[in-house]
Amino acid sequence: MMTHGFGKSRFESEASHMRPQLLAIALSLLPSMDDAEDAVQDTLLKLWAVRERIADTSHFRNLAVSVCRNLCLNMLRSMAVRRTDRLEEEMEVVSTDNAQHSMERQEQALRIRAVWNDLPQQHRIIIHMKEVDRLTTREIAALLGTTECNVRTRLSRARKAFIERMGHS
Amino acid sequence: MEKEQIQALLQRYMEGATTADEEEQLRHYFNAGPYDEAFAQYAPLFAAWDAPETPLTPDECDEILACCPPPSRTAFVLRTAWRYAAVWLIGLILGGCGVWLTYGSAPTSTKPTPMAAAGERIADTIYRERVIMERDTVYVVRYQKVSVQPTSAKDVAQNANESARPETTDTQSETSDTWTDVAWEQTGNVAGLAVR
Repeated sequence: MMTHGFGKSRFESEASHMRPQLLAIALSLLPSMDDAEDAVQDTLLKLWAVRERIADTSHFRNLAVSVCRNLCLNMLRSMAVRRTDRLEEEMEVVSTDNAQHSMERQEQALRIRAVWNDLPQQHRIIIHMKEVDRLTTREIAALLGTTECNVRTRLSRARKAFIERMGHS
Repeated sequence: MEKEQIQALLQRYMEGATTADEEEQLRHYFNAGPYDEAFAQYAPLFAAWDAPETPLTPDECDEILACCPPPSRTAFVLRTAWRYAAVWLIGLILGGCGVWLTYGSAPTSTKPTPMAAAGERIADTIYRERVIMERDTVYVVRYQKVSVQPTSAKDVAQNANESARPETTDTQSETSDTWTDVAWEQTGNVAGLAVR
């Protein structure tokens, strides 16, 4: 399925090479170790999603550093505004609950697509890796440089988020 | 499949703990016809996967790649050109060093001072040769008689170890012949010493 860019094993070796540096960047910006780990894995997920358009090793490394930094900064920003966002979300739910129609299959499919597109990138990517790329939990853990347990947690989080949003929409 | 079994599988699925086979079972359950209403909320997870080719939209991919644009073709060509040039340059410098070390310290072409006579042979009355060894190089030095004298065995013996002497005007003198060196040549190293 790979046309060009990075194959699985090359991605894995490059990712493991970059991990310490990315972790250092994340730790310098984010408050906790858990957040930093999440940020690094999110970075690698994004790189995995665009791997076919990565030119070479130096491009991979520069891109990894840039994406990681941007991601950490966004996380910091979202941490600051999280409280107000939650309120807005709740209000949205109330308004759509009032407009319930019976669903036909086609509408259902459209809705699924809409919810899917609104899912955070890392959730979409990890679900895609599991369901479409058919990677095992172990393979995903190796690519992201983390434990299988962590991958299961992320997968669980992604699936629950999807169900939750489907319920709300 | 039994409702309880599906329930159990779904629980594991939402924890991310199902195997590929178990997920296949769930997929089959939800797509093979009507499913239990209790599980309706999970159906989208199993229905949606004929969907996206890539998890991110092209715009999202562009946004990620915009963080660090890929190197342009010319930049790549220049970079590889510089690498080749650097490799060649280093190769040349090393090669030059090698050549200089091998040949640079070779003995210069000055006349050797005889340190030891390896042997002396009187070819005839006109000239004689002396084989001289200096370090490991053999030189053959030719001495030519300036004046020709009838030689006798005694004369030969007398002249054997002489070098150039002051010239005598008397060509008929019976004193030692006068020898001047006219030519000298390097014939090679000791290993290849050839007796001529």
